[in-house]
Amino acid sequence: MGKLLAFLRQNSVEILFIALQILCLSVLVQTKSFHQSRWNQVAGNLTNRVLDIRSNVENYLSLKEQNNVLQRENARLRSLVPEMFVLDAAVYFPLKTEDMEQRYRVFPGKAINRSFKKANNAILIDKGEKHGVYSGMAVIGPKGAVGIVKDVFPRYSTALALIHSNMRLSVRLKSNNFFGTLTWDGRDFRFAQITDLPTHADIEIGDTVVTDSRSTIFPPGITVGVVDGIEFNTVGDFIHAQIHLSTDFSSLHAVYLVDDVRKDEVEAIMDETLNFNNQ
Amino acid sequence: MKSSLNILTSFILGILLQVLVLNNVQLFGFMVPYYYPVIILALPATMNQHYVLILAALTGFVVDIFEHTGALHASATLIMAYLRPVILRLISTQSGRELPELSLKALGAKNFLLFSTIGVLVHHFSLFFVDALRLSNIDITIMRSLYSTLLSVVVIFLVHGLLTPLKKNV
Repeated sequence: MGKLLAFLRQNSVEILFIALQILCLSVLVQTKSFHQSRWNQVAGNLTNRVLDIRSNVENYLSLKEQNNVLQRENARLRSLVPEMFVLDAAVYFPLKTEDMEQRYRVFPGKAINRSFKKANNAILIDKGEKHGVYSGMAVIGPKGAVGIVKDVFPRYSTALALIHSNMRLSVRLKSNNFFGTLTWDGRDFRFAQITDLPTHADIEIGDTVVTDSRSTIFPPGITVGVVDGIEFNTVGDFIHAQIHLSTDFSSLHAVYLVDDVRKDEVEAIMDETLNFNNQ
Repeated sequence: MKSSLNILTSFILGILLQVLVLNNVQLFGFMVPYYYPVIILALPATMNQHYVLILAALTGFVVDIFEHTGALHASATLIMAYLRPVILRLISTQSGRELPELSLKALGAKNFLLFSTIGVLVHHFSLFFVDALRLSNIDITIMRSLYSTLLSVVVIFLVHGLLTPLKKNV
């Protein structure tokens, strides 16, 4: 008995090593045979929380890249919505998908600088001539219309915002087709006005206002804002409507540039018509 | 008291570095850097071997929990810890036995490199060998352990070197 104890004491390190090793190997064998062991579930709860934090950090660090990827995808998807196509058939029936021709193409961009407190507000966009931007392109944001490209530089361009005193945008009510012109009175960057709606127009607070097809710049049907207040102007028989703009110009970042494939054609016709009128 | 606090700190930091950063690294598909063996290797030479073994099993097991590998790392770290006195005798620094810590600073660059390389090699070989018993061939196992040892030693040298800067005269 004494000898056994002495032996154990002498080789205690080896015995501990072998005992621990046997424990390890038995755990190892058991994990392999029971794929979803109880232990995995218990330990998983704990470690998953730590790994979740790690994944959050990773996500945060790759946010910029993921945003770019998503914005490109959005631009592609936006190019595919029906508003971006026009029917290009001489006879309208029967309808065929081949007759739908893409008129508007959407490209991603970033508003790298913007003003919203001035009377004439502009947006600086990080895409320019090099990327195919031209003066007169429509600029839309994630929530709705933003503005129109004015000056184009090799790598950058500036756009007039909807909240610019010179901005005139053809809009209509989404529910019925009463149309008007959107302007900005220079007061609050959240609100623009329609001043030329006829008094018989069927308009209510909460109606959505979208871009009209009379606009040769914007694709029709792009959201502009929501009617926030209505005032009857007795002098000119017009309704004065206050529009709450969908785009928040104080937090604008991602924008989309809309390329009108038929722009030259439409502009040539407009020029001719105007000349004809002048004669 | 101070030294046990140091050991606890290096234990926590080393394991966090391992599971949060290094486990995500996979160079060329098969080279995985393991930093955590140095936690055990750098324990004081005078420390009771029983404690070293228990701490080694514990360290390996925590890594196992994060990697869902049962007790694979625990087993490999245990073997390394068991052979640690032998490795220490191999590099034959008599002073090494009395050193409070077998760090880069205490051992000097050359001895520490030798010590950690042998230790990590033992650890990696047993790790990949036990892992491969049910996976693949021995030549791949040897190759994997050699290449991973290279990577691990580089990581250990960099991180450990940053934590404990070299003395000027070394």
